Amino acid sequence: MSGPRSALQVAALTTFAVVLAGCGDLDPSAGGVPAGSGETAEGEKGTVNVGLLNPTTGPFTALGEDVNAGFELYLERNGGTLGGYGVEVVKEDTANDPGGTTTKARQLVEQHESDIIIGLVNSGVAYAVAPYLEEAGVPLLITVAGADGLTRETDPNVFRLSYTGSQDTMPAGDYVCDELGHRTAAIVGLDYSFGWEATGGFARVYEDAGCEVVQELYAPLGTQDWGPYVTQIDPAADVVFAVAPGSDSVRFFQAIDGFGVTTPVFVHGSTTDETLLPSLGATAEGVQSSLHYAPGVENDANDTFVAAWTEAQGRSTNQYAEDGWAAAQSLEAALTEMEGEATPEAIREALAGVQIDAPRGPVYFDEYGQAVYDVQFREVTQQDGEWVNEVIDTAEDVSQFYTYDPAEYLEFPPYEELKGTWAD
Amino acid sequence: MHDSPRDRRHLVVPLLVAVGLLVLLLLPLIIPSFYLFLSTRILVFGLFATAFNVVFGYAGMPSLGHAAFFGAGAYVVGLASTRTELPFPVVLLLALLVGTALGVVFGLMNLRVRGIYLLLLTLALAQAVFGLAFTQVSITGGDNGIFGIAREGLVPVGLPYFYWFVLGIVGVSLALMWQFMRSPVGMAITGLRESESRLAATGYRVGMYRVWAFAVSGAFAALAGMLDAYLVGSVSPANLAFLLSAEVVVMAILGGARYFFGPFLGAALILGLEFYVSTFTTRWTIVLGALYIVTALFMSDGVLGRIAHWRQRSGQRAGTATGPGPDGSATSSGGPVPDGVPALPAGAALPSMSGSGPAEPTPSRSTASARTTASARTTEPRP
Repeated sequence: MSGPRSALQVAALTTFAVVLAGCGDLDPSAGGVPAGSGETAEGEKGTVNVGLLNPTTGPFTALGEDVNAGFELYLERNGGTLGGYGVEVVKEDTANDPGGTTTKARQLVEQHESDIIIGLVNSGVAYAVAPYLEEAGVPLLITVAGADGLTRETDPNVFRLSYTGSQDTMPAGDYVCDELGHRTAAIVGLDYSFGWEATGGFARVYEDAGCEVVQELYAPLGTQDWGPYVTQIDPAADVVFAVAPGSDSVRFFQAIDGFGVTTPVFVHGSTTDETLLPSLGATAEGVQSSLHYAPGVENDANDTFVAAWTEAQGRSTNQYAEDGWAAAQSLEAALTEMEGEATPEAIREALAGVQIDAPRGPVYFDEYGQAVYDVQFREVTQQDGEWVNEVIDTAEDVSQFYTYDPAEYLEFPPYEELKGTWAD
Repeated sequence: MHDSPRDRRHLVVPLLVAVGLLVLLLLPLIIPSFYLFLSTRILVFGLFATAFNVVFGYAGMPSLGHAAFFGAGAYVVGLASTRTELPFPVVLLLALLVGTALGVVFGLMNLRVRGIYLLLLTLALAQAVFGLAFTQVSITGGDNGIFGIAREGLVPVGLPYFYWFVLGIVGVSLALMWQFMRSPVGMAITGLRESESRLAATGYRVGMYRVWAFAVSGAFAALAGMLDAYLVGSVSPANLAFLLSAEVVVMAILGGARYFFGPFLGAALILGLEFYVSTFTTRWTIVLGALYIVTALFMSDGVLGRIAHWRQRSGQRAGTATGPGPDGSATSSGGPVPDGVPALPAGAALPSMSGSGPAEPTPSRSTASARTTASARTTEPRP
């Protein structure tokens, strides 16, 4: 590698890399208070250190960045203070790796002295990090990761604003059976824990309501060709209940469309996400779903959120952005109740009693730290040339146990064991 | 001849090693707890990369499935510590056993494949292990993995003690591997890379040495996985994932696969950079990607290889260098490997792949021996 030519190549490549890297800094994406700059806004009660721990590389980048942007947008609109405390935000990347995220969580707690960690998309990562944070005494507010088991302990260190795997589909069981009158259902789900929990929640309530699951199909994560699954769907079923978020969603609906499946389709809301709708287009027309958020929810908080987000991002709001925004709102509500130094312990106690009017509607935490909220039933329609999830009905005050008694619910076998038994 | 450079080297090297060891021992007293965590992780991955290099750098087999061993060791800890009350020595033994057994399986399955086919087959085997962990939810926890692994009863509570514990295990493991590579079996494994057909013609059962290499490599990789599970406190399919297999290849190449300590250095560099760069920019993967490209284009013999190269060149300029290079890496070696240094011939940093790509740094360094080795391996009929 001697000689000026190769040296020039190295220099060019290095410069290119550094310039590219420089474009993607860790400053707040919505232009709030710069991370780690020491320019924290002055708060009359003191300052609080917030660690935002979301994926900014890897398969869940879009989700993580929307959560971050939602949080920072709310913070920015409040001038960098929440509840009288100046907020210093430090962002780290989970890179979707449990081991690496544990390292980052330690960095946030031990180096940046974060008083609360907010974020996490992957449940495996959340499971890996939660025990350390509990040991360190720093509360964790989860904004996306959905595994049921993360919020099952009373007096929790872990709080969650987003859904548990089964929380948003359980009301759909009653709705599809009683309101829509579909008496038999074929289940199509992704073959991993979220798929089993989301379909399982639906199946449990659906069958308890007197309807019947007649078929269960599970496809691996990242299935390229959904044809073999879609063509197996029992034509006698009144409805197809599907859970296939992310890129699987696009290919699933293409197959449904391509093979001419005419059975009505009802899905978990993440399968017809606002981030996916532009890609889904007409293939998802008329598909109904249940989720804790829809951009069309009518209340003042959502009007404010939609206006602010659309101005900053120029696109539709979605559940992840709302999760980030609501996380900032919850933190604000907790900090408002507090006096004196913002210790992790004080934040944890205050957070447990928080009640907010989030864009999705009223939200509070149950004794296990899981958010209780309204679940929206939505339908994909076209409005002014844009595909949107129109709100068609609402189930109010849905907890992670739905209408079941928590003690009784916790005795049920986990959904991973019930998978494959619903159709029997 | 007391002041000859060679004699001075005899004094300087042990002194440097002693100082280095002392610093490593005293590290917990010097640096804050978070950096101690990072340092412990570097030790663990250093062990992993060194174990990997037994198959890669020494035996010349480009394995892309080493996450299977690492993950297997980690899952042993996960299962043992959450479901059983097994004492640590038993867990250690189990991890070694599982790693060795898996290594033997990998070795047997790869008896008759070379180069890119070996790469694909090891990848496929590792993906099978990954799939097993992902789907056997009742045992492994599926994609959520196993979490809440405690170190209780292992060492006194506190990261410094665990750091010393890891340092001890890694130190002993490295010493064992170093010694193993100098044993007759280790030498034969190195012979696999140099010329398998010649080794076979001399009467060695080459297949056995391929299995040996995978078994030893698998055992120590599993040990590293075990330590990582104790350190991080969780196990998940990410410990078995293709990304990890690829990362360890890069570690070995970046540090210098011809050298025993090259992969260890590579592991330290990559973990350190990953952590450091990702603190500053969300595009840290681009920076690391560029680094990998530069490595592949201009320093396929790794950091240690570059250093040796520069030292040798400056030595030549001064007109003092004759015979073997300063660190004993015989640059014109066709003959036996000098005692204590199992270095590759210069330019053969990427065994089995060195003759096939544009990775040769400069024509002057791609020695004839590397070319013939590579071509002999691919074209000669098997005995």
